Amino acid sequence: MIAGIQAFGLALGLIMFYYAVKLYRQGKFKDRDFITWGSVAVVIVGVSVYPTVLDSVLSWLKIGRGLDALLVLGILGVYGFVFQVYIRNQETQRQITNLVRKVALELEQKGRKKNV
Amino acid sequence: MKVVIVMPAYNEEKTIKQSLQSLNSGFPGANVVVVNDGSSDKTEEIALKEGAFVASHIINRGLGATLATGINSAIRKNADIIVTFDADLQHSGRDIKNLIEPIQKKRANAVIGSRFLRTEDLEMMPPVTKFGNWFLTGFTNLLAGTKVTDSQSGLRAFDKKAAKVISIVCDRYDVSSEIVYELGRCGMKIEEVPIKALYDERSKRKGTNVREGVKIMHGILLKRLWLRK
Repeated sequence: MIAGIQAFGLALGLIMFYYAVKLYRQGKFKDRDFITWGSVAVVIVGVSVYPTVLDSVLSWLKIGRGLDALLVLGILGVYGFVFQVYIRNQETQRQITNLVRKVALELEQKGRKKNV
Repeated sequence: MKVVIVMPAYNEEKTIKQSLQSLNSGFPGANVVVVNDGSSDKTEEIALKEGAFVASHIINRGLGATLATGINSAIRKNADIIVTFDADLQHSGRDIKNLIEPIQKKRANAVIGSRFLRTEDLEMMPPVTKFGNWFLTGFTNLLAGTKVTDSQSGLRAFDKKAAKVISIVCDRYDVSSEIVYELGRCGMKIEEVPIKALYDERSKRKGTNVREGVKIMHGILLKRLWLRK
């Protein structure tokens, strides 16, 4: 029976998969995005429904249950993802500033005082 | 020596006319470049009517980005000396003559107008600003190996060499510390001269707050750790 955190994991995985499909159909996700996020969603659903599938890997990692592993990996993944987004944002901001500066310098005007 | 004055401006329609007139009367004949940082008011229009060069950011990018655009524009105009001057009436055009003198006499590559060298004006400075400035200046000096008294001053002058070697990447208020840090890193000779600082209710509200202060420290620390170019 699926209960507690398993149900939460299942719901999260299904919602993620739904959005991955929806965004892919709308053309907002490229093939690579769909494969990446769709796979993550499938793994979350799989581990939530069958937590024992990862037992051998978990015993090697010294982690008690499949869902614990999922949470630990999830948190680590989120840290990595946030870091990546931060780096990309910084680079985008820098490019925007350079573009805005280029336009400003190209279109610079000289004012004329009326009483001169 | 050709002097170009860079005036960053964001929604300064109430003060920019007076600021430009103060510049003209205090230091006549200079080329003034107003960098309009995506203002939604009449800043650009007024600056053009006053006869300044105007370079406009199509969207707001912050003080650091604005100063870098202005310095770029001044270099394109073959400026020998570049002065940065705030548009909020905090500075007096009369201070520019003293400010650029160490550069004209080849004693310095950069000059900072320090509000802390004129003790008679210090009472007008809000206590929070005073403390924040003291703290940030200490932090900047510690990391940059400089000995300035006012790292956050908006009135500064650079010679051509200093303007070309410093690398400005901070887009916001952290640019003031970044400039001092870069001058120190590039081995530029820095001098300070006392300047008059004028405060009204509007200028007291503007400037660096605690949040910006933390960002400034973060930015300068990243630079010091070579994590930022």
